[in-house]
Amino acid sequence: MKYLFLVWSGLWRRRTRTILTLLSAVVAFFLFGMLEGVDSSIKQLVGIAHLDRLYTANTALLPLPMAYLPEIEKMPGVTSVTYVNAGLGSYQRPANQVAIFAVDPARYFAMIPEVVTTGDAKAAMLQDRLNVVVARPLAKKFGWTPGSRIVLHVPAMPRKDGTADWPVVIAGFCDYTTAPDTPVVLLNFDYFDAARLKDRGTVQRFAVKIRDPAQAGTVSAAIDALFVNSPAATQTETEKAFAQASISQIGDIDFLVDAIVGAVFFTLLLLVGNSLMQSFRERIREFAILKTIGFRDGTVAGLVIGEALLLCGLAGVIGLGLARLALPGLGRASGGLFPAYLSASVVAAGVGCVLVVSFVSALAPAWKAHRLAIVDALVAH
Amino acid sequence: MSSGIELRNVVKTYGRGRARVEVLNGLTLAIAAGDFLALMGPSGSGKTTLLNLIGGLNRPDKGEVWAAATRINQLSGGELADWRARHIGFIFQFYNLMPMLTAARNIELPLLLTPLGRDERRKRIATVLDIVGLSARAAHKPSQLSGGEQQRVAIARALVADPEILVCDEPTGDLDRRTADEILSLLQLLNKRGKTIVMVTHDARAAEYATHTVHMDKGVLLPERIAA
Repeated sequence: MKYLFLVWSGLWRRRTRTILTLLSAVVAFFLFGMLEGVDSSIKQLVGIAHLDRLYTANTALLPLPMAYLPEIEKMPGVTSVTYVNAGLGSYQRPANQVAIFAVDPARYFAMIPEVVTTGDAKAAMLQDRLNVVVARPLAKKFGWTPGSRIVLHVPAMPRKDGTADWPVVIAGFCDYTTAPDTPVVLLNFDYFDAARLKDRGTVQRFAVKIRDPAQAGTVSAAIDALFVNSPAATQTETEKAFAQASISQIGDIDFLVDAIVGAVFFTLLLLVGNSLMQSFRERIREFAILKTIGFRDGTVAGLVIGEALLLCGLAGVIGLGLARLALPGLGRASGGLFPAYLSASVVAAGVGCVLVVSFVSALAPAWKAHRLAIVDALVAH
Repeated sequence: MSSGIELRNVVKTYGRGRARVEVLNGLTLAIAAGDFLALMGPSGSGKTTLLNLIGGLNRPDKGEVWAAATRINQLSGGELADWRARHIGFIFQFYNLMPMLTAARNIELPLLLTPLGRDERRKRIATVLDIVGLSARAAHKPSQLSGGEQQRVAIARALVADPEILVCDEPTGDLDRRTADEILSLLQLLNKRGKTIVMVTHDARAAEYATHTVHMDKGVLLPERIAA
């Protein structure tokens, strides 16, 4: 720590250059935090997927007949089955996005424990088909209270009356514990099925709870084998595989994030390395003086590395700090569909990047500082 | 006599192949502890090379260099750095202060290599600033100081770790006469307090402050102070 003032003063020898380099590095770490934050949040969602739940859907991405339900329920190893039709909608304006899940309240709440609601709300949904349960943050955002009558516009769910507007009544709230900001609206499936324009008596997918997660492969294969020769063949997969497949529809997020972050950090490496090299060249005499005084070669090289660490560390703290502030805003801007926060693993990866960029960019100037011959440097500079 | 200096048959050559130039040619010299030696001679005579060997900044190709009871030409790079930190104070013509650091911080640099704590370092800095008469300028950066003041800071930096030997390379070469006299008086005072001083100078008046003067030419000493 006693060398800190020396490192600090060296860093600010050329104030403008240091500020510009710092700003570039801050932007790089901000981008890293944002991209990795989103990526890691998505991965976490996939990671917490229940291993004892399977999803059965049509191999041709068409609906499945409701008649499959009792067939699946009878399969060995299956404990319960529910079904869902999902679609994106909006409230009042297209920007106010909501995720509509048409569900059987009794079956759904029994199988999906991460969606927590009150008994009153469940009962109300069962009593009146117009009643819906909405995510608490969504209700708070739009000022919905129990009994509020609202209309949801869901283009993916056209009605028999020629509109896509679904009038509903707020019955209560739920907490989606694994993704609290998801703007969920749980719609009564019977209401949906009765009012929809087409595909009545079908479901988008079945959710199947199994007794033993180790048997997921066997049960999946058995379900698919049951319907293999039917007009609507099925594909059954674990919830985790289903989540991954859904996300991969957006694109290979991992690859995109890694490619962008890689390019950004490679550029940063060159930038910081160039800045440190310039700074070293300008201060050759000063480093020679330090050696003259008695600073060892390794200590002088350490000062150069210290400057890189301080610069990148400062940029890392500011950049990741800004990303931490901005990520919840990104989540909110997507209507909560895209949960994003800075996890501990992303911060740890950020610290790793700080260390790698610092050491790699400081390698050449630190080596030169180490090798610097005092007399030659004093004569030449 | 631990702070005495002795060079025995020292040869130092620069360059490669045919372009080699022999700067010191079998030089032998003894400087007693507590001496104030002025090294004079024309440019290229080898004065600075000799000073660099005494200060452990360079190594001879042949011969032995003893200083502060250590044969320094046998030390490794790291050992030599440690030795310099303990035994040698350097004063240069152009002061060589760190421009971003205050006078006090510049003076503190050699103390960073000691196990001294922050408070003790501060006390030492205050003491040497008092010795060089710059107590009021501790917080000033080199650009805010005159040439003479900068050289005083450099002297304070050279003194602060209490080395036995001060190596001065034309310490007054960049100063006006009056300021140069002040600096030389200060060096004389330090010598009287026990420091061994070796000073390279072109200035005959500066050499008058030394207790002895040696002249060099073409890498050899003119015959007046050759060790027995």
